[in-house]
Amino acid sequence: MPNTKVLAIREEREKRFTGAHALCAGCGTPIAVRAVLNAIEEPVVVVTATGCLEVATTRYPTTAWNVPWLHVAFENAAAVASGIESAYRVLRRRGVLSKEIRFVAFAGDGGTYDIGLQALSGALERGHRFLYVCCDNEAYMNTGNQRSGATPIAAQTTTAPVGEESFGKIQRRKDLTEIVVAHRIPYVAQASIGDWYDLASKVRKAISQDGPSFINVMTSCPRGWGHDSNQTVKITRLAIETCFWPLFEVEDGRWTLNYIPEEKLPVEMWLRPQKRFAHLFEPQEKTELLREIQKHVDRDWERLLQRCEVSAGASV
Amino acid sequence: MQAYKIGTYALLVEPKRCKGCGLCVYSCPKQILFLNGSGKIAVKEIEPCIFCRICEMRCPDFAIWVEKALTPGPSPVMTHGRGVA
Repeated sequence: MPNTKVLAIREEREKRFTGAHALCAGCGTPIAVRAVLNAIEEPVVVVTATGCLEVATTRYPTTAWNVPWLHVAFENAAAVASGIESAYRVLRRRGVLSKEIRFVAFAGDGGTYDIGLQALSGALERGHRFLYVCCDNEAYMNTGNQRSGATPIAAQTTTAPVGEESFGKIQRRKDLTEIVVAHRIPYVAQASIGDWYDLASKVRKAISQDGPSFINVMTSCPRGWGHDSNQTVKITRLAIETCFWPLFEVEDGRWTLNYIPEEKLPVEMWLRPQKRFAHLFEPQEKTELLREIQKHVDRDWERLLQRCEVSAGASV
Repeated sequence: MQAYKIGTYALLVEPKRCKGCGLCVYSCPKQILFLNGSGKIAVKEIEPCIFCRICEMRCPDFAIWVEKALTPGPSPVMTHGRGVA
């Protein structure tokens, strides 16, 4: 199975993504990209939507990609991937190509939750065989931390500022994974860089499906979230342990929970180390709001347990 | 680039690529890494290293990695075309 060593050995044979990028110190996205690309054995073609990953990895005249790589615009990573996949199928039918090639689209939460949603929805509905990976860092970090559909309630961003009248983002984040599940595609999963083995296993499962697959990966952003750069993995791990970001997969409509924390930590443990939530604790603690956030997390978790037909207190 | 070798395995660090985030220092199960005065990755002691490769796969900047040396002992380490240490 794809543990750290297996991924590293795969990378030794062929480097698909290299260090020639300008992503910030401690960025979570390259960790996710490495894990995804190294979990796939077959040759890959990568499509990237506009975002930190695209901007920082392809500064002219350099590139960090050592695989065929394509970028068109912010909104159409999924549409481009489906076009490539269709062309590939035609070439195979005509006998021009015989190689098994896999197609992976990377996009941030802006390019998936908001701007690229209709392209993604169309590509999933048409049933192209490709893997879409959403690197969810919960805001438009590329342009300096503006709110997106993925930004959680009460998070401070430049377009959802904190002041006397406001407490950051007022709305709750949308549940994109569930929207994708509604497309009835063969494989949908939620993963995190905080659990590597789980992420790599999910990529392997997703890439072997004969149809579209989608993985929503939480990747932390030290600059936007406001934590130390060495805490990137720890913070995403805390999101799993507090059940804010549960790990689950949906195969052909069957929900499976991949990880149940031994002790469900209060969501405060995840909020407190991040500066974007600092106003919840200083100058005085906003207990009412914290209680509401905890209620949201609890309700979502209960619903997920019901979906996966697991009783509370069980372990996987 | 510096190479630290035990038997057939070597840990290689390239401070020039390092952005000093400290992810490897934080995640090393044997606590053998630290950030030096200029905020770059350095190896405290190599003996406890178990070559688990967690630092390698967590590094966003490809500044630390493990390689299997072709020959044990003090001979040069092969570095997959990235130069000889």
